[in-house]
Amino acid sequence: MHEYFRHLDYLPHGYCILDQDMKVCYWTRSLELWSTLDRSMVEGVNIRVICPKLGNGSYKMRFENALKSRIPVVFSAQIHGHLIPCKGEDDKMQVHQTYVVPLDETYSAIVVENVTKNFNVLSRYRELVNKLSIAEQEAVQAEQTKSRFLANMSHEIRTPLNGIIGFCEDIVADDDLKEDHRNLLNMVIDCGKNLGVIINDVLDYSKLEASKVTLDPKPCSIHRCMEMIIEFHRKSNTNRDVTLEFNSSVDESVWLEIDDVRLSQVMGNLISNALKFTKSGLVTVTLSIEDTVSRRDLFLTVKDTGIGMTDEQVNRLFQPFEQADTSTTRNFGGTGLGLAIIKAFLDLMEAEVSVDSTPGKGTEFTLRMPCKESDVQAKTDSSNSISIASIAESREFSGIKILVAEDNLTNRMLIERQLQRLAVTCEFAVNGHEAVQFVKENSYDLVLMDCQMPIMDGYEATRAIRLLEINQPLIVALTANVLKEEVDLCHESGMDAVLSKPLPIKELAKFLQKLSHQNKKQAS
Amino acid sequence: MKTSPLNPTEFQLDALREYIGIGVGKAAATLNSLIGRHIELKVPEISIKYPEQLKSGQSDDHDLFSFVTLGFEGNLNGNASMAFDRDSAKRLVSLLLPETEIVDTEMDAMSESTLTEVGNIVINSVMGSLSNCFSFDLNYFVPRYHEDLEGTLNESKVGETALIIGETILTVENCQIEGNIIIMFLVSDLKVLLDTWSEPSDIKYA
Repeated sequence: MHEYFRHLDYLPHGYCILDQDMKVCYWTRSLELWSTLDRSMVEGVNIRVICPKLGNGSYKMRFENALKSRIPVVFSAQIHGHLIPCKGEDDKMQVHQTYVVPLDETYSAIVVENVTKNFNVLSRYRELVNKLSIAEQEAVQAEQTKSRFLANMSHEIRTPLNGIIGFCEDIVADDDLKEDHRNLLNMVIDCGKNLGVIINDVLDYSKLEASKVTLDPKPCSIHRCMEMIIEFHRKSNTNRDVTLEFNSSVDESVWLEIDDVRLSQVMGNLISNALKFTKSGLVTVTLSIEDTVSRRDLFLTVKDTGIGMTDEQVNRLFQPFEQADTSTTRNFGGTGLGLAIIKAFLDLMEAEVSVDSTPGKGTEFTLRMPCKESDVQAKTDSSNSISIASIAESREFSGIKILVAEDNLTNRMLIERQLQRLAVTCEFAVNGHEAVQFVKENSYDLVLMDCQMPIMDGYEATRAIRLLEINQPLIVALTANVLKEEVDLCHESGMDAVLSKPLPIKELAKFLQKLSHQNKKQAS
Repeated sequence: MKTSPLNPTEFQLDALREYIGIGVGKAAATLNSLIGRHIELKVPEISIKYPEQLKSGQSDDHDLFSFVTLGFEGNLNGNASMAFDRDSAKRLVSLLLPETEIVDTEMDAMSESTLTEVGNIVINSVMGSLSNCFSFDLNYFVPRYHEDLEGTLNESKVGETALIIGETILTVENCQIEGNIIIMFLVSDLKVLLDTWSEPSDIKYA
């Protein structure tokens, strides 16, 4: 009989041949090696002695059924580990996939497939994937925590900033103010606005990191858009030794489909950098459009005669938190995020950016981006032409009934003064619950709603107001939360628009002007 | 040679359902004692189809199935399979071995080994039950795990092979998993088997 089964020694896997009394009549070489039991020791021995599991419970039943019905049975590695105990190299039990296969009326085989290596590799793999999965969950949570922190930080900084800028603007408007005091206050306002820009940079960078920024192209006169940016920087440039020039070969009548807000942010950043790093001389901005057979490209350059950069500095330029020279952090300030942000915006616009710079001579940034001409010409933004004094004089908004829901005393005082300057009166609620009560009892055209308030927040208050069977007022969020999620929440809760703090008086006037025109239209 | 088509009566299908039901009942008991948790197995629906019908009914993602197949030969030739779609297969392994998390979209080797054992238990019990009824004299091959239905169906000859398909519902602690028992016979053999149940009085319960 030995001779008959001897060939099994040359096959993969281990084989144990049993006779009808379940006694071992052949034990292959592989099983000898794995179990360290010599053939001579096991032959003639009942398999249940060598493999005690086969004498117990379901194992016994299935094993006997297999022999009786002559249908092969599988004992999987994952469920059973092994039937025939064999120790591995590391003294741990080997893992086997075991088959009980009836061969004929007399003989059956136990086939042992050693899958220890696969099992160990797989266990390690599963362990690693689980770790990765946990790490991924933690990273997502950390990202959410960071976003919440940024939203809170933004809110906490914007709220006092709103007070600082607003009250300073209020005092500056006083005709009796001494000139040097007015200058000092204007500096405070500029500092506040710069702080606002830094907050926006941090928020923008965070949104870009989370890939939450998308472009919003609209019809725009590119020439007029650039003129407005230049005009703004000319006014804010206090260095009389630097001239800001604008050369454009593009006509005012050319309207393009572009995201003017993001483009203004990009160009504003490049121009303010050029002005910052140029002690004296010239900063030149040029605008042109080039048509080729296949595409139309918009070219924008910002060239200065400033301190310039080395090649190594230029290479690090668009990296986040980097500045050309570490000393610039002290000399010129800044977060080092500006260029990283604009590079991300330029990538979204599919723009190419090149930098040509020579230390001591100056720098030239060139942007080239594909552009599409627009069929529609949008109306011009008129906010800059608003005159607060003439509005107050005309009492244009005097008929508008306004409720302000605001818990912060400083903000209440500020909005009250801003509205007074526009010759508008308002009532105040100090939390959402109070606001709902006021709306129930009075009729308002407009509710300026803070979002974070004690007792009942602005979102819940809005939802409650929208359920009232009244002549519904316009509800506008006046909030320091400017993250997209917060803005979406405002709209979802039923608010009509969102105004962000700090809110310049001209913006408020512009908004009221729009509302007043709507009211007049409806009345007529 | 083309064999005349099968037209099983309701009564014959009922009898088939009964015997397959006895088999899966035994399989459930074995799975219970193996896993140490309450497992229910039911075969509510039995039908007879031809391989061509199954092939034409396959969707684009037909390869995302797990099969455990037991071939047999003797006085009948054919094979019996337990089939699960990939999602059900993974859920089944997770339910049977809660500490095992299948981390990939693919079935890994260890999960395949578990599924092979579960399929083996079900098929063995069903074939055991049918054997008791018809006194089969069969030799069985070692069950194998595979993921292509065509591999099994291609062994069949057009018009000469028929499939008994039993929709299977496996319930583990309120969670239901659906699968199929597929037994492939020659049409002529299946005809002989079904004819055993031509009259109600002829039923021989095991």
